Amino acid sequence: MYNCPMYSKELLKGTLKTIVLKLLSEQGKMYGYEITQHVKSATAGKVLLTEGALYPTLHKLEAEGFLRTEKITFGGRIRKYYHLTDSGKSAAITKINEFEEFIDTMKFIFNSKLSIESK
Amino acid sequence: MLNENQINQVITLLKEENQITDAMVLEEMIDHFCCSIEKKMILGISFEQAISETSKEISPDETQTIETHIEKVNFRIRLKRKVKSISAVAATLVLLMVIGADAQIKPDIPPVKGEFNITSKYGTKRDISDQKMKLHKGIDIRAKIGTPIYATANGKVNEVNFSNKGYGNKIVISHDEIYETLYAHLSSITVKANDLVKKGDLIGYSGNTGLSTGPHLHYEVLKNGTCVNPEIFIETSDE
Repeated sequence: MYNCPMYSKELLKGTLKTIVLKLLSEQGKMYGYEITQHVKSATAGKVLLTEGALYPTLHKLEAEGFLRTEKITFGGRIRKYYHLTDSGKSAAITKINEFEEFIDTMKFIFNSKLSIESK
Repeated sequence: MLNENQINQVITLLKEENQITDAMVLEEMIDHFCCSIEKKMILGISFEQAISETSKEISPDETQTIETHIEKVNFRIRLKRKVKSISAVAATLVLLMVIGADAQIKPDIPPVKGEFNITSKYGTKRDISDQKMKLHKGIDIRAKIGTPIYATANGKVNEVNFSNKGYGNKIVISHDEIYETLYAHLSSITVKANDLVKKGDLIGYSGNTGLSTGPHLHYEVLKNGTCVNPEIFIETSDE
């Protein structure tokens, strides 16, 4: 789904929406290229979003009513910014909480497995 | 910042190499490519080298993927809107039909009070005086001369006719654009044409006028001008 030098596609599948919603809830508004760069630097290059994954996701979220766009003319070209809508904000909270809980649950599973093995 | 000429080179690349046709995708990709080129140029390489590297990084396959996916998303939105508008129209139609059906004034009570006997049913071919077999357009209800006859639904008296032929003295009431009722062989009539009547109002008394072989009420229901079986409308309530 997206280019990831460190993690398998399977592992990251389904996290892209959450990543986008999380970033936009932190940053307010972002444009496509900015998102790719932000993810790249925040993960020290461990997660690289491909354009082929990011843009369709942005448009999908927009279609679902979670994002609205704003076009700004910028140095002879048009820049499209994405914002969270009100329903996007609540979707972001839900998705982020769900994901954090998922990570915790995973930790619980793997930690308990480790403790069984160590017995 | 890229200048106009450089931006135009990016546009040409996206249109010709990447073959982007969707205006919205093109607009977004122009900015994306320009950003990528600018970042490389900041690091000290020429525009030509930067555009060439960016072009390799974001292949035509990649932009095709974007275009295809976005088209799919847009198609789904259009489809959803279509389905929504279609279902809205359908819902309105159903509602109108329900309201319409409800608004229809059906003649759903018998034209006489109390128990009654149907001596000749609707549709029965019967022998009348001229010995010909004909379809019976209504029902005959046994009724002594002078039995009160009531309007079977709200409506307007369309016709009052006194005669000693055929239907004899008769009343036709129009209930709405759909239903009409006819009461025949009456001895007397208490309404006149254009009178408004309510369901259960007295309109006259049964008799034996016109072509009749004995005292009875001949009662017809017409739906859109065609005779239908009056019995199917008379609600078989327990009254």
